[in-house]
Amino acid sequence: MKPLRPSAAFHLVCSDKPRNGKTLYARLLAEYLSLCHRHPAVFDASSGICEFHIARCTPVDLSSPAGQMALFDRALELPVRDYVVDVAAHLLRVASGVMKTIGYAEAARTQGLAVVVHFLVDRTLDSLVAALTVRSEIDPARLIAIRNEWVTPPFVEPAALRRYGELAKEGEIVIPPIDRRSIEGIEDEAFSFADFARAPERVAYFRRQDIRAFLARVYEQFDALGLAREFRDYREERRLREPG
Amino acid sequence: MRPTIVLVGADKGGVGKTTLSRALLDYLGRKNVLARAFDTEHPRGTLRRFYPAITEVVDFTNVADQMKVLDTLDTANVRVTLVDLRAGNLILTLDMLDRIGALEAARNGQFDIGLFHVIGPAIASLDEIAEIASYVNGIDYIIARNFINETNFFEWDQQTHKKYFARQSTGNQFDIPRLNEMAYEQVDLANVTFKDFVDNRNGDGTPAKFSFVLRGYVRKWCNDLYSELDGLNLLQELTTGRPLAEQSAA
Repeated sequence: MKPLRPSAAFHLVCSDKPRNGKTLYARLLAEYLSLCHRHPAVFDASSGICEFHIARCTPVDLSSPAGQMALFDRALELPVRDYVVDVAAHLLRVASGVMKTIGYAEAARTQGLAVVVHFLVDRTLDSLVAALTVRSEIDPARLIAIRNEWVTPPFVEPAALRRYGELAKEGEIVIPPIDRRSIEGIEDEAFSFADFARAPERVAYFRRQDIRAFLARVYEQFDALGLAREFRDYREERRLREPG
Repeated sequence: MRPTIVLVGADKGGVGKTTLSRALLDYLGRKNVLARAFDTEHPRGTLRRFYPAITEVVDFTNVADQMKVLDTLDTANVRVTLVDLRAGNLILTLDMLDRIGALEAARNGQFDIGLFHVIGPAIASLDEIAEIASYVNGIDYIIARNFINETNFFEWDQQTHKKYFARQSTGNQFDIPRLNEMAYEQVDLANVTFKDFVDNRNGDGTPAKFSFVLRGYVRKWCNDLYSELDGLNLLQELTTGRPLAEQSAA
């Protein structure tokens, strides 16, 4: 079947390590897409994101076929909207393995749904290798490398730098640092980035400035990558880049 | 080309005998080898549910039904006659075939007999390998190990493992990969062949609405299993149409 031009995206937010800002990033992405009127369906495979103030959030157990069906089958049945999936680190291999086994990225492509992997890299070389492995297994339309500056400083070691460069070719997002008190505020379950964007005056002035600068920096990068409108398929370019 | 009888047997139920029969019929279909099937789970017959057009339910302890299967090998217009043996009847069936001279006829080249012996991990199942050894001399005997319930067929105990498996060559044994239980149940409920399930079709050829996830699991299982079957001498001969000796020379 000839693939349709993608009109929506299946955003998989993942990492090989826990506690590096993955759920925060998933929230930022989901709420950014809502602000862009794309109203994504959000799936929580991490026991994290659904605890926050997120619309259309459904918990899902990716370790079971029933949970896999609830997510992957559903997205294929309704490929006209965006999906954001927050995957727990310990389920990365399961999610990646299932998507590879069932050929999900290709099937999604034929339905006009672009699979986009957002991989939060941790500070080790192993994490970069894990990201490259996920890209090779899932074969998404695009893989975006995410680096959380609170947790992962820029890579300097040549081997790591080279791998990171290879990983970030299709896009990179850096989550900027933010004041500790502001972190506590945004990690409150009642806090919503979208609500803040609409009515920032509800937050105390100094924290408001801090959060506003943080959001501006993140949304600027989302805009630059065209996450709300451009579903470019990098797979052909990737194949040409790979040796042999 | 000589007709071939493919027997699929096991000493007990629940080890995957009929699943393998279904997979073999699928495999032969994909390779364009014409086949018919007899299900000896008389009167019910599970295999017939999936292959109604080519399967007949028979009672293999009944002489008239034995004649129906064996006396029509040359006239049936198909290359392969697959017989799914009732669980626990393997030795009885081999004894019957021996008494009527069918095993001898196969050894003399009148037709070919291949036996797929599906075994589970219990010692009783493994002991049956020794019990039927005298019958399978001179015919294609294939051990199919079914890895259910995370078993490993005593690979952790080399002495026991060697006792049962050392004599088998790689062209005469294979492992049935594990299929996700939910995927298996869905195929079962849908009453379709593995191929139809993967192709998202009902038994009558109309489009179905099976889960993409479960179809993916079944597709992978089929591909893995067929890779195993590709390595078997008997099936290589059936699918290439050439005797094994000729293939080796080529």
